[in-house]
Parts: sequence; C-alpha cells; structure tokens
Amino acid sequence: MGEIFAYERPDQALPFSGERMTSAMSGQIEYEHLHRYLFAREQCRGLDVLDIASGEGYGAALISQTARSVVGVELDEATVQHARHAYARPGLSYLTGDARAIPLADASVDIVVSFETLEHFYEHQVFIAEVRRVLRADGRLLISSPDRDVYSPLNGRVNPFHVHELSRAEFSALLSGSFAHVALYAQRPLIGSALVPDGGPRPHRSLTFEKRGEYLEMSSGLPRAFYAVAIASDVPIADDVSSVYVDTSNVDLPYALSQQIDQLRLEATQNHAALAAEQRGSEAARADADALRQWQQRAETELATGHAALQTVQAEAEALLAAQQAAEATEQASLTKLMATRHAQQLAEAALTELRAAHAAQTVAYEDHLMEAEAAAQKARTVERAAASERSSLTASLANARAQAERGQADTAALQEQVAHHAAAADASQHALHATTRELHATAHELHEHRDAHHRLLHIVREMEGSKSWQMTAPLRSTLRAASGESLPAKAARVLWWAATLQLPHHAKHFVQVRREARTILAAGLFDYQWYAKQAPHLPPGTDLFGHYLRQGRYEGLDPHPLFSAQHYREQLAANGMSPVPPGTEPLAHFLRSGPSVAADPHPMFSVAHYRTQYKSLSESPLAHYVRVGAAEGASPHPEFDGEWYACMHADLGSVNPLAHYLTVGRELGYEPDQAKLQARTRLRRQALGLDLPPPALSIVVGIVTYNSGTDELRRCLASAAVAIERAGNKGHVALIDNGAPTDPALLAQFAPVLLPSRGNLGFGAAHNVLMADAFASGADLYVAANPDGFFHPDCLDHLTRMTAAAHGRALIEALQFPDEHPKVYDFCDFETPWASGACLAIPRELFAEIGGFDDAYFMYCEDVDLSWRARAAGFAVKSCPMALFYHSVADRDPAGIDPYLLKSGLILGTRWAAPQAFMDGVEDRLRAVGLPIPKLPPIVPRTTGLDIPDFSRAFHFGLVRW
Amino acid sequence: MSALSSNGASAGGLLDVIVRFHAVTRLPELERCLLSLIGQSTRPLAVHIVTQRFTDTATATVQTLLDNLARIDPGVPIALLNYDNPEPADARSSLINLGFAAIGGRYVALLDYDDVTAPHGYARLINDLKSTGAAISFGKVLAARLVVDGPIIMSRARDNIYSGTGVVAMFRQNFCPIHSFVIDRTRIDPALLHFDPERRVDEDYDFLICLCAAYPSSFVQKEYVVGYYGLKDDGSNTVMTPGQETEARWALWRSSADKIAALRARTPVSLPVQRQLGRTPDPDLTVARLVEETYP
Repeated sequence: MGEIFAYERPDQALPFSGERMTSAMSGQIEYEHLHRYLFAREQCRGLDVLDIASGEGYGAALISQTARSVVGVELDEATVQHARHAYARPGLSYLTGDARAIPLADASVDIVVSFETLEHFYEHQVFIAEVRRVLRADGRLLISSPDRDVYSPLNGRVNPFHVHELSRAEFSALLSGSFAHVALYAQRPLIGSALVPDGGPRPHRSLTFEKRGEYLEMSSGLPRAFYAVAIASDVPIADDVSSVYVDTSNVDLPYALSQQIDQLRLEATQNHAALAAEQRGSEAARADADALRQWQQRAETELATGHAALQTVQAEAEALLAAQQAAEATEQASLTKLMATRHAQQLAEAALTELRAAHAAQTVAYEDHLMEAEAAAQKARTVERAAASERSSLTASLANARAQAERGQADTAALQEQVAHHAAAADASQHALHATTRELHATAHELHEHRDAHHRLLHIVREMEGSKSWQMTAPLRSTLRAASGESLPAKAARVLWWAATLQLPHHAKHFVQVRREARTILAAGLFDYQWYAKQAPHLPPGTDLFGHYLRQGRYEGLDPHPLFSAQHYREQLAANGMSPVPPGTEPLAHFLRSGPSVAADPHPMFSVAHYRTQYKSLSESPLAHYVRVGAAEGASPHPEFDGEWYACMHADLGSVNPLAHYLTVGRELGYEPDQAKLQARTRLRRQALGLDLPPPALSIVVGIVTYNSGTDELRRCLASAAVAIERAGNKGHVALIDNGAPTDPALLAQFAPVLLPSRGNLGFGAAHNVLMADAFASGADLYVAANPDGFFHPDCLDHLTRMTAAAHGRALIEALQFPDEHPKVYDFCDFETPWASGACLAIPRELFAEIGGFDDAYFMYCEDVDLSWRARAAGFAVKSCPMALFYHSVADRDPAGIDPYLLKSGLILGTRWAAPQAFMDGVEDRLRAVGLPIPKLPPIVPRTTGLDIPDFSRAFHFGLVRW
Repeated sequence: MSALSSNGASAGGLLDVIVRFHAVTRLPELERCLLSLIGQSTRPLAVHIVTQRFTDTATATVQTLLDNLARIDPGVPIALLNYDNPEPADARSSLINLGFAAIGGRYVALLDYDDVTAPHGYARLINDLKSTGAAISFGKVLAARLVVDGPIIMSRARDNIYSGTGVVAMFRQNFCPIHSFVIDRTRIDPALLHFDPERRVDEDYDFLICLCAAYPSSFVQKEYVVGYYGLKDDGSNTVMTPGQETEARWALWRSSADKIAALRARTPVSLPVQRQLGRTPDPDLTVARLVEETYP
C-alpha cells in the first residue's frame, strides 16, 4: 500500500473568479493544479519551500505535509487571510507579496514552487532574477506555465487573466538563460488509463495511445500537452521520475451507476411482471369463484331439470359432434388451399428478387457505360482543345512565317535596291578613281618640286644662322619673342628704345643667362612636361611648355618638376641664413649650380643631408643625382620616404621615379611613403578597432522595433542576429517590441527573442528606449539598435563589441550601412564621424547611464543625430566601424512616406540645437514644396551648451560627405 | 510590405549568379560580395562560386564562410565549384565557363569576388528583360574607390566612370563591367555562353560584342545603379589603376585592343539588332562598320 495522506481542503472554499484555482473547482482544472502540487509535495520533502503565487493556500498546505518549512506568497491580501485561517499549522506561513519583488531574504529557501504564475505579468526576467536571489546556491525552481501554442491557439479561446503566455521554446529559453540545468516536463489532464513501466533503475520511453474518432493514434511521450513543467537548478538534476494522478472516483462512478441502474431496471421489470401476474391471478380466482358460485346455482337448478333434458342434450351433442367433424374437414381444406397460395407467393417473391438483381446489375452496367462515355467525351474534349491549341499555334506560326517571309521579301527587295545602288556607285567610284589617280600623279610631281625648293631654302637658312651677324643679333630676337603679345612695329620700337637708352646690353645679358639656366635644367632632367601641363591646364595644346615656364610660369609660382618647390627652396635659404636667389635668376638652376654641398633642400620631401648620407662623394647636385641614378637604385630621398619599399609595394611602378609618383599620384590615393608610416597607421587603425584585443566579454542585447515588418525580412534579420551573437561570443539575445502588427508567432517560436509587450506605435526612438531600459536593467553591457529590414554581417557584432571595448565603453558606434553606405565622412585612422546612424547603432551602458537614450520628441528620423551630438557634448566619441557591416537598403524608398517625419524631425533638431535660420527656412520650403503644412512642434527646450558641435550647413547630411 | 516578396523574378525565373574567386586571402571581399547577393530582392536566386585551383584547405575555409551565410538566408543556395585544370595559368575565362556549365536557371549574371551588387539591381534588370523582350539588360555600375589595409576596407569616393548609352556606344568602347547586366538564357543560342579561355583581359568585352551583335539588348535601366566596382589602392585590380601603368601591362592591353578590333571587323550585326537600331537591313554589316558609320 502506498502512502495515505490527507487531501487538504478548506472548510469554506473561496469562490472561483477565473484568475486563480480554488478548492471550489473540480474536474479538469482540479486535476491539473492538484497533480502539480502532489508532484511538488514529493520534490519538497524535507526542504525549505517558497510557494510563489500560492493562491487559496491548499498547495502550500499539501507541501507542508512533507517539507521542513513552507512560505506561501500571494499578491491578494484577502486570499492570504483566507489561507492563514484555513491552514494554520507550524512550519506553514502565508505572506502578501509580489512575485517580481519577493518579500524574502536572499538565499533563504531550497526550492521555489511557481505554478501558473509567469503568464500573469510581463517582467519575466525580473521574476527569474528574484527567484535566483531567494534560492540557495544549490536550490531549485519548480515552475509551470501554459504552452501558448496549445493553450491559446490562434483564433481559439483566450484567458483574460494571462497577459504574456510563453511557447514551450520561449519557456525553455527563459530558464536556460538563467539556469545551468533545465529538465522539462509535459503535463496534460487525462481521464482514461496511463500505463507506465513499473520498476527498473530509470523509466523507459513512454507511449501514448489515444482514441481519435474511428482510429487510434500512438505517440511517443505525451502529445499536445497543455502545460510545460520544469525543474531548474545550477546543480545537476538527478531525479527523473514520471508521475500519474488518478481520480478513480470520477473515472469509475459512471460504470458503477450504470450497473446499479441496469440492476434496478431489471428488478423493477421483474417486480412489475410479478405484480401483473399476481393481479391477473387474483382476478382470475375471483372470476372463477363467482363462476363456480353461479355454476353451482345453475347446476343445482339445472340438475333438477338436467335429467329430463339429458336425452335431448345427448342427441344435440351427437349432432354437434357431427357438425364439428364437418367443420374440421372444411378447415383442413382451407388450410391446404392457404399453403398452396403461400407457395405461389414465395415463387413470386423469388422471381421478383431475381428481377430486382437483374435490374441492379443493369443499372451498374449502365453507370459503367455512362462513366466510360463521359471519360471518352472528356478525352475527346481534351484532344479537341489540343487540336484547337495546335491549330492556333500553327495559325500563329503560319502568320509569323508569312510575316517573316514578307519581311524577308522586303529585305530582299531592299537589298536588291542596295545592290543596284552599290553597283552604280561602284561604277561612279571607278571613274572617280581614274580621275583621282591622274590628279595624284600631278600632285606628286608638284610635291617633288616643292621639296627641292624646301631643301634650297633650308641650306640658305643654315648658312644665315651660322653667320656672325645672326649670332650677334640673337638677343634682339629673344627680346622680340619675349614680347610675344606685341605687334612687330611695337617690338621694333622697343628694341630701338633699348638701344637708345643703353639698356640693350642688359637685356642681351639676361638672354644669355636664361639660355644657360635652361641648359642646366634640361641637362639635369628636371623639367617634367606632363606635370607642368597639369599645373597649367589653361595653356592651349602645342604650347612650348618649357619656354612658357622660363618666360612666364616661374614668375607665376609654377614649378618645373614635382621634386622641386621654388617656394620651399627660398624659405630654406632664408632659414639657413644664406643669400637668397637673386632677382631674375631661375631658382632650380640656382639650386643645381650650387653643387653637391648645397645647404638648402629643394623640396619638403627631399633632404639633401639625408641623401648625402647614402652618397658621400657626390660630384653633382643631389637632386640631379637622385633623378638620374638614385631613384633607380632605391635610394631614400628623405627619412620619411622609403623609395625601395615604395617601389616594392607598388610592383607595377616600373621605371617611374617613386618619389615623383608619390608626390603626383600616390599621396592623393592615400599611399603611405614608407613602411613605418604605413605600419604606424595600420597599428592605429587596429587599435581603434580593437582587432588585437582578446574577445570582449560584453553582454549584448540586440533591440529590434518592428512596424508591420515583412515576415521574410524579419526572419532574415533575426537569423543574422543569431549568427552574429554566436560569433561575438554567444553572450546576448534579441529583444523585440512591436510598434505595429504583432510579429508572426512562428518567428517568435523559431528565434525566441525576448518580446516586450507592445505599447502601440511609440515611434522609433521611444520604442528603442523601452527595449534599452529593459536591456540595461537586465545587466546588458551593450545595446545594439537594429532596423528590422536589414541584417547583420556574421562578424558585425564582434567588431562592434571590440571597438566598444577599445574605446573603454565611451563611444557611440555605428555599423556601416552596406552596400548603400551613408556618404558622410569618417576619419580613416580613428574612425570618428560627425554623427552615427540609428540603422545599426551600438550604445554602451555607460552612455545610457549618463545621457539616456533617444529623445522621445522625435517620432522618426534625426533622433540618431541628436543622440550623437548629445554624446559628443558629454565627452563620448562617435565613430563608424568600417569592419562592422549591416546590410540595409535605402534604394527605391518613397519620399512621400519619409518627408513628413524627416522634415518635422529636422525642425525639432534645428530648434533644439539653435540651427541657423537658413536651415529652418530650407526645411519649411521643402515642406511647402511637397504640399505639407508646417507642423506644430512639441514643447522643446533649446540647448545652451555644445552648440559648436552641430553642422547645419549641409542640410540633412549634418556634416561633410565623401560623395 | 516585404521587399523580399514584392520584387524580382517569378517562381519559374531562377537567377543564377556566377562569382569568380581567385585567392582565399581575399575572403573579406568575397564575404561582402555574397552579403550583397543575399540582400538582393529578387528570388529565386542561386549563387555559384567558381574558384581557381583551390586546395582542400582553402575550399574548407570558403565553405565555413558559406555555412554562416547560409544560416542567414537558407533560401539562397551557394554552391562552390573548383577549377582543377592546370591550364591555362590565368583561368579567369575558364572559371566563367565552369559556372556556365553548372547553371540551369532562366537568367544568369556574372560577378567578381570584389564586386558588390546594389539591392534591387537584379530585380530591375529582370523586369526590364520581361518588358522589353531583350536578351540582355544593362544597368549602371559606379566605381567605389577603396582604401584597403589588410582586412580593413574603407570607401574613399564613388565615381561614375562607366558612362555611355546604347549598344553601338558599347561596341565602340566598353562601359559595361561584368556585373552590370543580366542575360535571359531562353532568348540566346547556348553556344554564345562562352568566354575565350585564352583571354586575360577584356574577356567579358569579347563576350558582350558577340552577344549584343546577335541579339537585341536593352539599356533602359542604364541610369539605375545595379552595382559597385571596387577600385582598390593595393594593386589587386585587373584594370590599371594609377601607378600601375607599366610597359608590360600596356603591351597586354594593346594586344587586347588589336584582338577586339579584329573581332569587331569579323562579327556581323544580326538583322533583329539592325531593326532595333532602326537601320535598313544590311547582311554585310559588321560591328566595326556600324561603329564607323555611327561615329564617323
């Protein structure tokens, strides 16, 4: 025999309101609750127990039969008073309290029993945290909750007292997120028979057989469980028992009653029959007695006369006997006739049956024929349709072929026309060719004569150039060329003036000097025609570039070569206390003539002293030597330019001077001049990105605000978040809130995000604030806001956490929107940016604690700009993370859906951050341009600090842009 | 409304995208490329990565990457094909041919590992193919000038360097990068889906000249951005970037230009293409003459 114990019930049951189970209830609800508490009674044997949401108190009382102590905590004071009165005993007490703020000391109980509590409030994480607080280190939580997918199916019944039911997966995830070990049970109320293994070390797999209509179903385990029950603990859970509660009274009562009723019915029938028989017997007896008495009287009367009539009677009797015999003979004849009639009827019935069978067979045959006929007709119709289709296709093909033939004929006709045209043209061309050939011969003859004349003239010119008079007048010609804008008479007048005023020798001397300087520069290979042309793009093609430099360009600040800066050279001379370049002297030639020991550098990137450490016995200008020899030998022209490394890094450079390449092309492209500089920059970048840090142990909550989001897009977002969280160290989860229609339950079941109850459409920032507050209250280190229509690169969260760790939590960091990257600038070394986008934004706990989340005044758009500027004003960095990619498409968006919110937010931002009037006017102009009224703004308190941070000069870019 | 379900090809219009991948050291760029494909709004979509003589280790490395991406959207299958043949040494054309042999969808697009597609690009081009009846539809590709520092990739600028309109302009000079078009395979001779295995540069231009001379093409979407071409500062582009103008490379490109000129001279322009251009049919019209007559 098993253990016999009292079934705890109060003298006076609380009325059942639907919210909590009371002992006034019976049937299924009683089975469910009672069974759980009976199960708990065994689990709690010898332990200190908290029964949270203890209700009427019968459960805690049951547990108290085996536990060391039990405290029942219930929210409703009247219910607590009732429990105290009904179950007063040592070791059992009841307190008024909330499951989200349990009125017990830390680590005060061995086991917390919580049945059907969770679904009555939203703050599940808070509740679990409270349970953990009051549990001892090796304590357990025994908890149950209705499985939403079974208990509240779509379009099914709704329990109005349940505000947040969980699916089995969510229930499991909730517990697994807080306890190291979770054992799940399934519970379902039954009336029937449960057959489980009896004995053995562990129960075997159980099978459930269920009658389903006309069939039987066999399932493994207990299908379609209404409740999930679990034991959770940080220590391994050794117990693994199964349990069945059986209420035989309810199960056996109908059968016993029916048996009793049947017996009573039988007895009543028998009694009724006996009674009737008795009644019938009594009446018969009375009738017999009367008849006997009458017969006795008649007999006595007739006895006297009987004798007299005896003879008559005997005669009549004999007559009657004869008549009877005749009647019997007649009856026998009638019987024989009846038998014959019946036989005939049977024969007729048999015939009728045969006829009916034949008719039925004919009917079946007819139906078969009918079906065959219909099938044949169907087939015929199909064939007809196919034929029609083929006919149509053939007709179309024929029409097409005819059209092609017509086009072909047209093409052929056109081609024939062209052939005729070309033939005529060919004839004409042949005539023209003959004529041209004749003209060619004549022209060749003329050309020959012109060449002869040219050679004669050339000979004369050379003789003239070799004459002394021509050489002596060279300065004059130079002067004339120098004044190229003047007319010939003006030039002649100028020369005559010089001669008359004795200036002619001076100008002749200048000419000689310029010619000597030109030779010096050209000999050193230090005039770069291509580069000079780029410096002076206004010069027309065919301009004598070197001549332009000597006559004009050098006075306009142009340099002859990328490796020589006249300005820098002059500054160097002055800085070193040396004589300046004399007026009229070309600076590069001046530098080159100074020889190998020149003390001034020709360019900020060319150090003569540094170069001479590599070539100690130079006999020419270091710059000329570098261009002629040093560059090809990999010499370094400056401590900060490693020519050999640069050439190796850009292997396709070939014979191009590395320093010239760097100054003209590479620098603009961001190439580094030496390995150390590149390495230093790479080091800075890696440091800012946290690439070399150990994986940061940051707890992440990815917050998603949905607004009628597409299921496929949201699924992709949630799937990518799961991958990214896993790649970032698997320390985090997704939290979700619906601003619009509820998220598809299948998605919630698949990805088990923490779903906060919807509060309507709060707007983008306000909804994130709700998620953010919950995340940080639950212990998160980093909140990552993510748009539901985007998705994460697998390493996105890893890079955001690394960069956050590198910034010691004092940076607001955006992932780059990919592939439609926002064009605003960010620094390529420390990655600072004017503001960070909210499409995928990492917000550290420290920032939230200091400046809060988004400003609720913005319904949508610009809240991220505002948060960024507030962060900068509070001393936080705002950064872009180029390695954290968040796929987010902004293409093909309808401005009509954006403008009302964007422009209103722009006005709020401008008001708060004291935007220039031009910005505000511009926003209002845009509103009017798209036909929108100027919106009424909420009360806004303008800022008085940090006003140097905003940039309203580039409209809604709010900063410089890259493209 | 979900962008994933509102755009793109019908259920029967599978788009195959062939992605060339040459070096496992460039995984971050391949990952960006594939991410952009998963983000495409067109469905159904299948990706075929063709690799050049990868070792088992390299293949396993790529596969790990693909496994993670497959979890994001299992609806976009990504297959890996390795080209094992030792010849030719530069197998860029053979890789495409390997991809062509593996596909079975109605539409096909090509991509290099360092290219990125724009979100609705393929959907636009497929819709254009449906509405115009063309065999190939072109969109715009912008150049993204990238600073590449190991795994760190930063966009310095975006330029419109591929300007041009119409098929004759394309015959004259190629302004259509390899990821700027989608082809309707049901409208072309399968034999045309072939790259010359010996070509090291301009292999796609050869292909486009032959295809567009034979079948009508559409440039209706030429101003819609369908992708980005990464011009990287680390010298890993095939095309010449500043600082890479060596004599050997110039010689290669000059030789290619000669081959292109010869191809133009011998490739006839089909009558349907001539009709599309509004020309009087001329059976002897070649691509070269068409260009000369259009741009005298």
